[in-house]
Amino acid sequence: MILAGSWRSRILAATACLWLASVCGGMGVLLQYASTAGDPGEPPPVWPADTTIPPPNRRPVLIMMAHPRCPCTRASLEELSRLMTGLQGRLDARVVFFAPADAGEEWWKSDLWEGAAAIPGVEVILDRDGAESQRFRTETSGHVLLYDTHGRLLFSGGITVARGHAGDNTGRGAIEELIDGETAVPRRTPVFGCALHNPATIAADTEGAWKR
Amino acid sequence: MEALAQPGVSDRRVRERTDDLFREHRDKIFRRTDRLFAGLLGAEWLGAIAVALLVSPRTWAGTYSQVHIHVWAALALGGLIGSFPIVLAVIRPGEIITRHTIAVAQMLFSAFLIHLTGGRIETHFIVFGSLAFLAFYRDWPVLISATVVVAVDHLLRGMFWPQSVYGVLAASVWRTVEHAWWVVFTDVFLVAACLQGIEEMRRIAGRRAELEATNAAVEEQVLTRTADLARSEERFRKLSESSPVGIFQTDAGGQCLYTNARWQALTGLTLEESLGMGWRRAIHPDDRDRIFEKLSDCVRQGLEFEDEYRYRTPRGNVHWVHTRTAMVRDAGGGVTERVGTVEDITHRRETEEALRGAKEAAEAAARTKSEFLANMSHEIRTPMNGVIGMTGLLLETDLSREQRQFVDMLRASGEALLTLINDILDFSKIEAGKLELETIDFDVHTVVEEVVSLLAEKAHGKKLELACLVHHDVPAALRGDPGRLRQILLNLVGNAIKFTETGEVVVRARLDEAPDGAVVVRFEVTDTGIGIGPEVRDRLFRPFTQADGSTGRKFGGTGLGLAISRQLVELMSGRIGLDSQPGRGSTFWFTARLEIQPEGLRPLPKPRESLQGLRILVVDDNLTNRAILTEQTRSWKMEVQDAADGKRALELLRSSAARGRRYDLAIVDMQMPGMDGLELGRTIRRDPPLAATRLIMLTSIGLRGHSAESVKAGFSGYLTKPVGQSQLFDCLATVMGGEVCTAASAPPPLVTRHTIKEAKSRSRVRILVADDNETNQMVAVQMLRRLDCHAEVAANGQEVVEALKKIPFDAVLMDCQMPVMDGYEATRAIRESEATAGRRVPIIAMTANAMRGDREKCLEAGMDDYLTKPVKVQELDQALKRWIKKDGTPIAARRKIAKGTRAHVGRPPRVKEITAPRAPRRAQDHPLDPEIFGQLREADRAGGNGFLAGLIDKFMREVPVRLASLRDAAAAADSDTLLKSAHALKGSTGALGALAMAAACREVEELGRSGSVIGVEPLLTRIEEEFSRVRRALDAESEGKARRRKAG
Repeated sequence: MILAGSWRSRILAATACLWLASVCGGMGVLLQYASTAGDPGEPPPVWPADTTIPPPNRRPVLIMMAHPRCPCTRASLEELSRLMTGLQGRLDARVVFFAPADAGEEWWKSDLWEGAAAIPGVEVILDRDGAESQRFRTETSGHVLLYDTHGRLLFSGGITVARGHAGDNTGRGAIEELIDGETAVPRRTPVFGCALHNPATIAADTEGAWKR
Repeated sequence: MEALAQPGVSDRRVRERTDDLFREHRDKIFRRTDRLFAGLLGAEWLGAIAVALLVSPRTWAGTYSQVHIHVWAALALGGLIGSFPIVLAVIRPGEIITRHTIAVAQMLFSAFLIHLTGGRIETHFIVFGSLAFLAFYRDWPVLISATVVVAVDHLLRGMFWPQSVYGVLAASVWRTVEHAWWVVFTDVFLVAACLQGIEEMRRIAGRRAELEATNAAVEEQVLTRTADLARSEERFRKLSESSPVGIFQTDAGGQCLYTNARWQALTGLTLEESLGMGWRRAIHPDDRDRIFEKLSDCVRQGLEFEDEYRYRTPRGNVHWVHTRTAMVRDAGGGVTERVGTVEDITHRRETEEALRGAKEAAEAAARTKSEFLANMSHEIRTPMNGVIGMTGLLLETDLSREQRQFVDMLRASGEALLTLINDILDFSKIEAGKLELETIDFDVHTVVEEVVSLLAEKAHGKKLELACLVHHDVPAALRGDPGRLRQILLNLVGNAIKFTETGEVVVRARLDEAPDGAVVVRFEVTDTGIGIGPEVRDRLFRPFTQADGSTGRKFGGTGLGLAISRQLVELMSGRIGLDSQPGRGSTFWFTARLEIQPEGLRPLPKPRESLQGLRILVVDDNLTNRAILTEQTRSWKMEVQDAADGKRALELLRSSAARGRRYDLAIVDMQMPGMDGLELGRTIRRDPPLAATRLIMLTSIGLRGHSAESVKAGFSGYLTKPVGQSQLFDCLATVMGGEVCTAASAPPPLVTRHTIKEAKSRSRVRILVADDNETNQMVAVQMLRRLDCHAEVAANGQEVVEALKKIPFDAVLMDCQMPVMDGYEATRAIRESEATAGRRVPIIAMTANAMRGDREKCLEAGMDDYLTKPVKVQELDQALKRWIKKDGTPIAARRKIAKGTRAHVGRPPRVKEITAPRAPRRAQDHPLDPEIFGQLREADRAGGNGFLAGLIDKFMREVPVRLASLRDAAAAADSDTLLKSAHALKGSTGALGALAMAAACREVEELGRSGSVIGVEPLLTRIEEEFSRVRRALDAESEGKARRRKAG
């Protein structure tokens, strides 16, 4: 019995270790996913001329490219909200939501749209078929571009630390400091979010998973 | 209980039990919390899936989308995190690995959820919430495990992905400290809460253990008591079932709850049949109404029930039972139950019935016997009455000496036969419980004297001294049955004389007790006879028993006398007994409770001198009795008629009254056929023309007891048959001397043979003799009797003073030298008390001191006269005549009082001169003074009671004792004893006339008084010589007397 009890304990301990290891592994995968950044693109250093978005006037302009259905973008909008709250009146912001050319309002007018529109100082712009995002050469939802009043690109990158993770992050801190006039700040950060444009190719192993 | 009795053991057990309970409780909490967390983890899993589906269902790329990895992670990783601890919670609940796994899983789930929600700060609360939940375990190490997970998570993240924790790559140390602080802060409180919880758990466990220990003790006690109760119940049940008495139990309203086997056997009902009100069927129909009513009353009034009634079984058997119930009450006093016993008394009832029948039969037999006895009494007594009455009449006729002797013998035989018949009838009546006592007024002194007088001749015939002494403190006027009292005394004195050959028989009466309105008088009859051994004393008072079998042959008698006496004494609320020494004599004694006459002695009317010419009617159914009574009354020159029954008597009375010649009196027999004496008396009293006729009841001794009824019926006289002629004359004369008894007037005292005797006795002069010498007392009493005086004696002056306070004696014969209080002192005391009383009793000194100066001394003390011893009867008679009239009135006192002067001043006109000493001269001639001894001889002849023989016998016994005392006193030079003994001997010798011997005694007395014994020896020798001479003379006297008797 003692031997049996001992064996059972050992099996139990082993099982516990295995379980813990599996959980840790799973958590690691998740973390890995969360910390995998999107395509950073190549935003133009100067305000593009062909854009329909009004250029900066007396205040710097922050442009966030967003996919209206990307769950990761919710954290980016939360950070934007914090940023706009901290920099009241010193910054204009425009959230440009991607929408297919033929999509109806029910497609693009999501809770993210509503949330962004509700942030004071933020202008929501519908980006049919991703024209604007292409003009600003961005690829990932949640990508933030900061242009000064002269139309010069001050910052490019994400304002979350991982996919869908709100909280203190380098991107938001850099923008705040740039607005405050600091210059010695990171000008580029990784962007965590869904891809704004349809993929050029879909890998064979994931083809079944994607739907239009 | 044992545990409670051993504190050490108890404490240890409580501690152990506390630990067990604590562990048990903690284990329960662990298991419960395990289950809670299993549920929580499951819920978190589902929550995670829901959050994933809600927050990040799909991930997008332009217009393409696919299921978000979070959804898969929620499903798979959430399941993984939750499944293992859930499994453990199911299969290993409460184990340490389970809760630590749960703690780790819970923290991992927290991290997972935070991740799924995008690291929202709000979702971080789940960490603290989880820690708080884990505190449910109240096992602080679990919190450590959880904290370790958090710490490791932060450590690893800080190391490998710092921005995921702090948002920046290089976080401040302070932020780490801050994070750690909050966790530690929470942990500290939670750990403290856990420890406190554990402490409380332990305390609760301790209390519960103590409670359990107490409960266990109580339970053990309860078990013990329950077992006791069970045993008691079992005992009761067995007792009840084996009880020979029926037992039942009902509720307060009478509904039967239980009956035992005996009850069921008595009633023939089973337990089931008797339950409720079924028991009612058992009661016999004839008793039902009565018993139900009584039971209802008992139930209503809350009383216990007890009765005797019958049960009838269904088969018709009837049992008499005695049922008794008792109530069982609750604490408030309310009746909750009744229990009862039923005793089968059928046998007792049958026995009682049989006894009742036997008793009725016995009573009927007793009635028959009583009637027979009454008839027999009447039938026997009537001819006996005739025999004795006719004998009396015969004696009144001229008879030759021989014929008179024969008739005397005939009368004596008749009276003996009557006594015998009376004894037998009395005993029969006693046995039948029919003996009743009279309650009539009488004088106890007279009764005693009468008894002595009746038996004096018998005692004289045996040369016995017969004396009586009624102590002065015995009241004279008593109420009771003098006839039965005399019967007892006659029996005892008669026995004493019968069984005494020499010496004396003395009757004494003294006061024993004096309760309110009554006295208990103790009578003693002392003899110097053969005595009675202790072995026969007990059976002496039984019927038909005598001291031994030879007694009856030698002395005769029925053996009923003492048995009857005992019964009579008991009827008088007294006791009877005997003190005796074989060969030395006996003292029979008895006590009697007698009432005191409230009004004192009531004087009878003065008897008529003559009955001549009075008309008398004799009513008796017996011809002989009528003949006797007719003859007797005719001899008194009365006009007599007789009637054989009441009817005839009434006719005669009425016809005579109608002619104006009514009868003066009627003698009525009690027992007559048809109308009895009482009824006749009542009829006469109710008839006004006849009411003036005086009535005398005549009844048999065996039927007495009707005196009270006779008074009520209007009778003035009451006599028992046989009636002596003189007794009848006295009764008729007394009744005719008084008033007629009517219904309106208070009844005059009933004239009976006792009252007649008492009246006669009371008319005599009463003299108190005060002398310490018994011989002198006897001589004086005998002389006084000869002078027809009633005499009583006192032994010293103190007794004289006391006696005079109670009895108005007509005179006192006072010896001067007496112990306690001498005659002079006593006289002074008497005179002092008389100063206020207005009466002066003559006191006559009676002393042996013949010295000049003695007379003055006596007169100075207050005495009236003076006699020297030896007193001669003539001198005494003259002295009494000087001082007392015939009716007892003191002459001097009356004169002095009439003159209004102080009584004690009065002094007789002449006092007898002191006589010169005469002893020496006469002593030379004859040792006994012829004059004095002659008087004694004469008194003896006149008294006829053996007085002289008794006196001589007493003298012969006393002198040697006195001489020995004198010799001893002389040898011891005790002048005091010499004086006293010489004085006593002087009195005795002087009284007998041995004057020379008395003179020698006086010389010794004088010597003793001088305090010297020198020269006493020759005097003692002289006394002894004189005694020898006296003895010879007395012997010669006795022989001469015997010769004379033989010759006569």
